[in-house]
Amino acid sequence: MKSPFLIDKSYRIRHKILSVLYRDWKSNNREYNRFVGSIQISTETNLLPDDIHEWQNLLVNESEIVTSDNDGQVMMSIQQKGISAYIDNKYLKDGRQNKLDGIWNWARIVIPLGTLILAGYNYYVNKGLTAKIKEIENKITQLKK
Amino acid sequence: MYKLAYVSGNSFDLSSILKRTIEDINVVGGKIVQIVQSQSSNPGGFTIVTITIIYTITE
Repeated sequence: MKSPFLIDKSYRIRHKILSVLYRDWKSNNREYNRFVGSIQISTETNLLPDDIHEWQNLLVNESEIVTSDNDGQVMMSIQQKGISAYIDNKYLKDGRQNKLDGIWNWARIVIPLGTLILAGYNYYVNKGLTAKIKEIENKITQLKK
Repeated sequence: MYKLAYVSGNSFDLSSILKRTIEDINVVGGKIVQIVQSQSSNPGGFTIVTITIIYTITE
């Protein structure tokens, strides 16, 4: 079962893609315009190539990487924004925030609902107690007579 | 037989990867038939360009 506290797959995949591209950039004298194939990313991260191809477009839309697909051969190159995003753990932070927002959204429904149910239960229990107290009062009154 | 290549990214960052892709096409003896460009803006105001290259390889 999926843990409710686990960061969503899409955020983890984007972070992992950036991590491979960043390491390649760093280990090659911080040279821009280096290209890394999706197969290499898949090998280093154990991500499925399909997942990489699916989520790379979001990184492109954020201007963090550029990609090329030549007859199915995919290559990527990290850009300055991508480096900043990786160093800042942007996608891990966004993923955690997204998870907290999700929990908060559930809590906003569950907590008032729970309170309402509890209030109804208390009302029911109190109603029974009130009846019992009245019964005892009546008995005491009768005994006094 | 037609083949497709495309490059995609921020318009300012595309030149190198476009050059590399065209070089790769040349290496396999590909002949470029048409180049099509499309673009959109991302929420940050950057222009995201996709350049599609249609090429053939003579068997």
